[in-house]
Amino acid sequence: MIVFFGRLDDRPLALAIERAAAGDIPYLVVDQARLHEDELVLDVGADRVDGRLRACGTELELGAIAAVYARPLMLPTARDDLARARAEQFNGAFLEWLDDAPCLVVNRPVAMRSNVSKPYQLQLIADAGMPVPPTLVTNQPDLVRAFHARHGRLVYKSISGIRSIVTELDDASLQQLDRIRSLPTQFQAYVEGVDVRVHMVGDHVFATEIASAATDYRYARRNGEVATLSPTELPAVVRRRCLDLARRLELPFCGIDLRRRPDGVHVCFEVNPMPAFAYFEGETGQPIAAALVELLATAGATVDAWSPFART
Amino acid sequence: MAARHPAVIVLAPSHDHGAVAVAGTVAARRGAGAVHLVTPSELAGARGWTHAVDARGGVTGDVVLRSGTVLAPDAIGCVLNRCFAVAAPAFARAQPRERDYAAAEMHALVVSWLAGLDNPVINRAETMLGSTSRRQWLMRAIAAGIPVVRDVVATSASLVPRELGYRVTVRGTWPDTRLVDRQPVEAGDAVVPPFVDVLVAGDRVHGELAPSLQRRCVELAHGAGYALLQLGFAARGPQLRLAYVDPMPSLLDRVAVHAVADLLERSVASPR
Repeated sequence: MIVFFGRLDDRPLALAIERAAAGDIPYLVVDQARLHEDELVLDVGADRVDGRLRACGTELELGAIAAVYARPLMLPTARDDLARARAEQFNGAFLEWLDDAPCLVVNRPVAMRSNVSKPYQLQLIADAGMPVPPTLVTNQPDLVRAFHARHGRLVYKSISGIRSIVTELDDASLQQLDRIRSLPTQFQAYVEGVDVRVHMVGDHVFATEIASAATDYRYARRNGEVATLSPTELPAVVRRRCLDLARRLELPFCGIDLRRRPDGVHVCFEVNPMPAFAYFEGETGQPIAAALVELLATAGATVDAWSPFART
Repeated sequence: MAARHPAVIVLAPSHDHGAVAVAGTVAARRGAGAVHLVTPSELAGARGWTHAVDARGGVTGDVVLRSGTVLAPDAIGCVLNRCFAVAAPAFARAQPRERDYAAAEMHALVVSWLAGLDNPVINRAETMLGSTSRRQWLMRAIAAGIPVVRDVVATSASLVPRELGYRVTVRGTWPDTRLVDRQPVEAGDAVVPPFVDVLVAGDRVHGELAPSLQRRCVELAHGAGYALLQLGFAARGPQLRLAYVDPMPSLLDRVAVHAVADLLERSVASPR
């Protein structure tokens, strides 16, 4: 049995559920918006972990779950204290179980943590053989000016996993560099080229080229610009590195942000452990959700490769 | 910080008496200049932060503390990391949203800085990326072959196995007794003395435990990225069951302090 865990108003989750339904694949939805109505018991000890859940009127032993697609979001506001406590209890215990569950989990919460620190994640990305943009985190304006002089163009962005708009360091920003003295800030060499978002789904690779003049194409529309998405192919070496990177990060499903420089080198900015793939599938027709459901449905064959903590 | 011999950095808040004792022990053995006690606040409020990652992932940069001490990578032999989280002192009086953002940024920077050091960090920077609950430790212990005390969590009291019915902790207070069966609860074995505490320090285990169980404790700790981990077993006659795990042991007794000081000295001598 496949379990889909998250919120039905979250488009990527809804799309994956649609694909499972269309393929007549047995599944159970655990909707975070209705957790107060559902039931979960997790029984740890003395030498085994048992448990069961009930959602949408279906009861299921945790041991009968072959795969989970988890997109945990914030719990919605509860109607009363008891509903809130029940929802939090389910949510917390289920997420705890997911980290070590003996099944395929896409993705385990613990594996999503590398995104907490972007420069840390850059180190992991580079370890997988992928070039990364030269990066400087500092609270010293003079060093930023020297870094700027060396690389010509810079962008700045958050260090943590808190989402920020990637912004180019322009003349006005350079005049305000003294502001970084109170908080170190992350600067990166601007990488010329074309954005490529790669969705890794197990061993499937979906590469999408994004044509946009915006520094951060995710916010192109906000600045009156456009982003045009089209499927593309990766050179074999880049494809191999993407596979290696996803495995190293223990992410069966992830979104890898690359930029292809004019010289053909692909530079990696970051790895998104909970990719909002629906936008890319909608624009390109790439069957990402179908591949995800296939990965989940064939979990027995893939669980060992992705489950470092799995007990078999 | 002079670069004569790589120093031990003890990264710990000033109220962490165990860490202070470890620093004192290392200083007594190797000389006062061989160890630096640095608080997370000092690190976050450093006068100069330079942390660079090059195109191939090479990490460089120094941290210049307000005291003038320079934390240069080649002068750091190892780090005792007793840091859960890092705040941003300059934002202490900012609006909560700004303060939280600044703290997240500072925390992310310290994680990357520690991860980029060439020499051992105990416990590893990755352990700061998120917490591991007691229940998760117990589940991982089972996977490592360590017997554990029973621990049950349920969304409704009615789901708790009958044999644990009298050891239930109700979450919250619910005045409406008609809802009693739908209260979220936790239950489990009574965890009462006597306890057997052991300290994993690198490959060594300090405490009274059978060798086979010692080996599993080391595997559990290392598998989760911890070179330093305290495990507490509840003793029921001859049977020991893991009851709790502490990734930040208090280190208040002499044996523990010396065990950690030994670990730091071994780590300085054999870089990762």
